[in-house]
Amino acid sequence: MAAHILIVEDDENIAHMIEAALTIGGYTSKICMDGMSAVGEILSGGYDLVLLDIMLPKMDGFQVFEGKGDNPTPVIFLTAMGDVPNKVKGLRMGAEDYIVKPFEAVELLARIEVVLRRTHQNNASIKYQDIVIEPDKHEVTLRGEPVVLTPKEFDLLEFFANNIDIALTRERLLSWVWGYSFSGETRTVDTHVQQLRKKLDLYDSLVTIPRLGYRLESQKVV
Amino acid sequence: MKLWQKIFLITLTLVIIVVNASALTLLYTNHHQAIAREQQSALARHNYIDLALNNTIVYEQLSANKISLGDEEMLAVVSEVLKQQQSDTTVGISLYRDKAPVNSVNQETSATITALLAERDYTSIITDVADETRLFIVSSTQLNAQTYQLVTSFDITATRKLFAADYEQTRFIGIISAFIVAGLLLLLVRGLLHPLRSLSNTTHRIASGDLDKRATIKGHDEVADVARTFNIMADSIEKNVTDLEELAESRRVFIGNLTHEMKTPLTSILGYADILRVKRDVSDEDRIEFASVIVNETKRLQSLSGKLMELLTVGNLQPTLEDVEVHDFAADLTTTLHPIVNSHSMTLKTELPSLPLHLKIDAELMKSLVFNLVDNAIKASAPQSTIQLIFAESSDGVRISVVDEGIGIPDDEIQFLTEPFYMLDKARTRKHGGAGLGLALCHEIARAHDSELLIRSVQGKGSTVSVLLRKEASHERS
Repeated sequence: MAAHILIVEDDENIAHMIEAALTIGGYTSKICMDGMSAVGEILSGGYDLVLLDIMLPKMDGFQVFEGKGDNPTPVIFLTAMGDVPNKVKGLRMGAEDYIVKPFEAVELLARIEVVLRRTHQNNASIKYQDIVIEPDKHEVTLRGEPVVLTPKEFDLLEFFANNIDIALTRERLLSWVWGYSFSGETRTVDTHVQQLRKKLDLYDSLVTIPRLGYRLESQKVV
Repeated sequence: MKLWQKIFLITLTLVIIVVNASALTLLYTNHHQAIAREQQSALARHNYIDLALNNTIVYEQLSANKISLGDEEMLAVVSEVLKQQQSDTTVGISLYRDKAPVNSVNQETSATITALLAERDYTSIITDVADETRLFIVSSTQLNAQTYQLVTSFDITATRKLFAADYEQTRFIGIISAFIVAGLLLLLVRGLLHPLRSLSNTTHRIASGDLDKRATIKGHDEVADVARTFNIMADSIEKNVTDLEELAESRRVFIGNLTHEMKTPLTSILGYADILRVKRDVSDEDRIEFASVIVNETKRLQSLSGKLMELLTVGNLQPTLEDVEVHDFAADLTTTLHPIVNSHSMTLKTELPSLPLHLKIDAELMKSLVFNLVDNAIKASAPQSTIQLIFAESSDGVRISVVDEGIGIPDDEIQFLTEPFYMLDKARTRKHGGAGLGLALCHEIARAHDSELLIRSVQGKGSTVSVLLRKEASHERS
């Protein structure tokens, strides 16, 4: 069941870029170029999430947010305005997140994943081959046998499992799992990846991408 | 201490001192005069008694035909005279010989009199005896060939009491008037200093940021002068601050717009680049599409930075003015412009004055201006339409106009066109790789030539953008 996402963005190139990024994440999407029709689209329902640009012609993102009333569809603001007051305003209004342009595609996908998980209470177990991950219980089983993982290893595995077939840089992994924003500790990532491969027999699936990072493959590399 | 308090206290003190001092001086002078009158009349009475004694004794001597009277006779005569003279109780008369009273003496006064008898010849003194104030006069007199001392005393208690009463009254009036004066003075001082206080309040308000506050000017006194000067100062401060705020605001808007204009292509570039980097399998079609966007958006950033540099340079540098002949200038321009216009399937027509005409302009900047105007005209026009480049001579100079038959500009938007990053139609401008800087640049170039852009437009019919260049007087004649 792939989530359906509404993209509200007036720049054609950005809108299509987001569309392409969402396709990688396995989401379906629709593009809306102005605020007026965006409100109509949101109210007509059928969307699991709205990516809302703030600088829109005629009706800006904040107005669109107000226009949708108490429609419960979660909203992530996308904007070039990275200043704190705007951020606070967006989050105060009840937006789920606030992403400042420019952003990396993987970052966007990761933030969307978090919002969808939170708003849908989507704690369903994630299955990858013969591994089952239970996010709410923090448990992992391999062929039905429980495997003991440290919390960081678990977070790392979960992030890989949510981004199958996407190359993840060490920096991204580090900032997502460890919360670091600097890239000096990439050795930590390598060590944890080694541990995951060993504990879950992922030698053939969790592959190293030279000069980039790691990727969890949907098919075992033969 | 506040000024009004100082003025109030000093004035009040001065008024009280002066008023009381004059009142007391007057009071004391009056009293002294009254005492002096009493003394005079007392002295007259004293002398009269003295005379009466003498006369009576002389008369008695003559009638008794004796050179001197005996003590018994003497006492009887004296008693008689004194009884006659002591008509009222306010006067006391006594006669002494060798410090011993000849007649009966009031007990209360005897001590005082004894002290006075030491005086040889004549003395007068005022002193309190019991609860009375008495004026004593002592004088030596020759009676019956012997030296006697005549002492008279007069009751001047009334005069004294009058003075005391006057003094009390003066003091009472003094205190009451001090309060009245204080009250009036308070109102007066506060009233007079009110403009100063209101000026001070205004100053505080302005100091705390209410720059549009002004002092109220009343009358023509010094405070009004200060208020007037103050208002002039406040005007200029407010103007400066407003100017600075406007400058800061326009900078802020500029930076905000610039950030937005830079972040929009950056978002596409970063996003597509990241997709190309992380996606496992990218189809050829996608790869070409994504990479094309990256290339185009990078070009947009490049053009933006170029325009921005140009804009900043024109805004900061003095143009290098040189002598340019209009026909040469136009020929130079059209050589470059024709292919561009033709490539959009449009026609460029040039109109020139018949005679050679010299201009003093920065040729490079002016070319840039015309390029930008023609570029805008192309963007606004449909294929097959005509774009005119007109050089027209008028009384005050040469007007360069670019006329198109394009979509036109709404009236209420014309005024914003020269603002950096202002775009009539964002999507349309972006599609053509613009960033809304072209007309801002033209505006700066026109300003560098002490001129300005004139934009006229009819929606659906087309627009005319022109710049008026003043002729060089010296070249006109040559």
